[in-house]
Amino acid sequence: MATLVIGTRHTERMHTSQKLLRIDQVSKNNCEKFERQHARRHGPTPEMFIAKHIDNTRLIKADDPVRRREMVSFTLVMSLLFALTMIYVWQHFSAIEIGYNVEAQKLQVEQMREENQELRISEAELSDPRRIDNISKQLGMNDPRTDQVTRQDEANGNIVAQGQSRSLPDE
Amino acid sequence: MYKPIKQVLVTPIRRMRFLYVVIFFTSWAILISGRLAWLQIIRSSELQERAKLQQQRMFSVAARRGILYDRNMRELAASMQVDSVYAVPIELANNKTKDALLLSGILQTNPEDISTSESQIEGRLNASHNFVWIARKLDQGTAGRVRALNLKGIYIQKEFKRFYPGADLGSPMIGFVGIDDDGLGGLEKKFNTVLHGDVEHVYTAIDAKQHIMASEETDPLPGKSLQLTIDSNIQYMAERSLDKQMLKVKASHGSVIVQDPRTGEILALAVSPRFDPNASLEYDQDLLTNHAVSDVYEPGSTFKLVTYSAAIDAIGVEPTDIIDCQGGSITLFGRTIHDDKSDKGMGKVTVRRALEKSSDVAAVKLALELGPDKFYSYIKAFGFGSRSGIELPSESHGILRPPERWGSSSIGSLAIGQEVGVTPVQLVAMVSTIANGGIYIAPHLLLGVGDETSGSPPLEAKPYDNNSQLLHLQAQGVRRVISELTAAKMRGMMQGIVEEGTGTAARLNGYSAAGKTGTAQKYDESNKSYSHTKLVASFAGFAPVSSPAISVTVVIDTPTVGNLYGSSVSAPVFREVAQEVLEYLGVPHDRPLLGRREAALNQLYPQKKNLSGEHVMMPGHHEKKATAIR
Repeated sequence: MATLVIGTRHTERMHTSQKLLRIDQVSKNNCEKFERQHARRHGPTPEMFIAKHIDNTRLIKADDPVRRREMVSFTLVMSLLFALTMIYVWQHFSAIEIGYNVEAQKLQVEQMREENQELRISEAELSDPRRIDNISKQLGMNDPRTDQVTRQDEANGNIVAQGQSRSLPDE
Repeated sequence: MYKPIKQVLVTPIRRMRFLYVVIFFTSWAILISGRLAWLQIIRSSELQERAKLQQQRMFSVAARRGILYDRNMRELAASMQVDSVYAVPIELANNKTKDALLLSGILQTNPEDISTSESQIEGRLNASHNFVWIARKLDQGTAGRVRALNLKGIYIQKEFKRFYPGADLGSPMIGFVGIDDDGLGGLEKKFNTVLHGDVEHVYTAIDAKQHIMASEETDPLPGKSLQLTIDSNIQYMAERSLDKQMLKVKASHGSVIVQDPRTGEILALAVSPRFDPNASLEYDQDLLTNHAVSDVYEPGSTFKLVTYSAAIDAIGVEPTDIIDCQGGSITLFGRTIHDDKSDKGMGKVTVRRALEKSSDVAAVKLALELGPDKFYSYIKAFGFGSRSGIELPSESHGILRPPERWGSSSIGSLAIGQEVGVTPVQLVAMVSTIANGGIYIAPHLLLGVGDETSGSPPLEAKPYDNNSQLLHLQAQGVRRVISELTAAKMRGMMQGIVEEGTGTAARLNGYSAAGKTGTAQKYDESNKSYSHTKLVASFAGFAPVSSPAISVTVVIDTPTVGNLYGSSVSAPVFREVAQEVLEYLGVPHDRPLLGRREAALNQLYPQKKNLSGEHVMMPGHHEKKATAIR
């Protein structure tokens, strides 16, 4: 640690001497310019060249934890605000897009429901007893006589009655 | 410890400048906040409404009408979406005449339909600015051709159209709907509020291209579906038999009702003639009338069942008791009531035989024994004189005067089914009361209501159950009218009518049957007297006798061809319907099955008996001497 401190001081000393040297050079340079200018000048008013030495070496940027914390907080808050804004915007546009999709799905559901309804009505039309009776008559079938009806076991099927088809010689 | 340096503005000018800035921004913030509060809080609702008007479109969509099912969940009436064409005349500008011509060319398929003529369409377009219907509920092909025209200001709107898959099957009972989906007849009218549902308001957010971004439905309440007690197959059997007989005897109209006597459920309610509700607008009002509940007629001999039941129940008359039929005539306060010619000379016979032969004299004597008050109470208890409560519009309560308003011979008239008006539904309820052991059960058509929105269990098929139990006396619309013993005696006597009396044409093959025939004269308005040619032929019965599964009434109004009596006109319809229905329902036979030839002989035999077995009810209102028709 001690070596590091000595090294730092040595470096500072070197920087100071370089600066002084540079100041002398600038001063000398200015004096030369002044002389040349003065030789060319005809008017009474001399122009002044003043070398201003600005030395900021004493200014040391001290660490400010409060300020840093504030900046961090500010950055975080702004980031959060930005993120929330972006989420809101994204959500808004998503909602619009989903709205279109939902409407399309609703339409599809409605169409399928309607199709289902049409099929049920068609089924009801096709299974209309009058229609079946007319077709059976066209096919030359007759109503079964009472003694021709054979009942199936109610437990093992939906067939309620079955007519035995046979020709009736005395008809 | 670090302490932040408090910066103090020391220059007066700077302090003032800061103050001005603060005041400016504070004022600005107050103004903005105030304006926001004004818009967001105070005028919030008003502005929201205005925004809706600007950004949203509201469509009123008619709710889907509920479905009418039979007991096996077969659709009897259902709604389907179809296209309707409407116009926004303001968008048509100067093209109205041209568009009317184009539209009329597609829409006017029937030249008699003037509503789609060019002049009518143009007239409607000129009469309104914002909205006008061009044609409603079109088929797919026609709507497609209109769509293909792609006319500006002409739009297609989806609407519900009612379809009746069975066409005229049960049409007077089911009814029909008008162009706006409102029930105008039958069950469609009676349950219109239940079936119709609420009109659906759909709010849609519209984008710049008029596309729907999102929609919000309010109160989407579709109509509820109804399950009826009707069985489509039984309904068809009843209608087929009735139509066949109607054609044969060329009657004005008729009805057949099939009821389960244990539950009061109506299995079929057939009326003839009928109409196709898919095109109901083409028919006149008479066709739309349900004669089974609206028509009142004098029942004639079928009403003797009430007289005999009351006599057995109230004064202990036995079927084996002897009653003097006095040779076939009785005079009551100056009015003579005759039996039928064929029964003239009938003297002392058993009560059972008197009913089998449908003796008027015996019925009058039994009613006199009962007395007016007691007789009237039984008539009322059997459901006459008041509506049965069946779920059909325009039900008549019939005609029944209280004893205070009876004439001197009214009791005699009532005993034989005169001076009383009944409906076929009342008649079937009376017969079912005798069939089920003396309990009156109000006839009904509604088996269940399905409501998808309320989460109630969905409707399920409920086929006729051979083992269904008699309704409990505590149930609504149920009451005991006669004792079980009286009912049993009546069933035995009614069986005798079918086997040996006037109703032999109603004999079944493999099943025992019981019933009563009736033939009543109609009052002729033109002659102000009872007609000798206009008759109402009826039959009311049930089968099988030991455990009645169905009750059937057949009423045929004004038959004009052949034998016009109930025994010849209505009893055969009963036989055909009851035979088919019992076989269809799988009711066990209680009689040996007859072969083809035996069955034919069995049917021929009653024809001979009918020649001498039937009675015609005579006019009673005017105290006129009754005369036989034949």
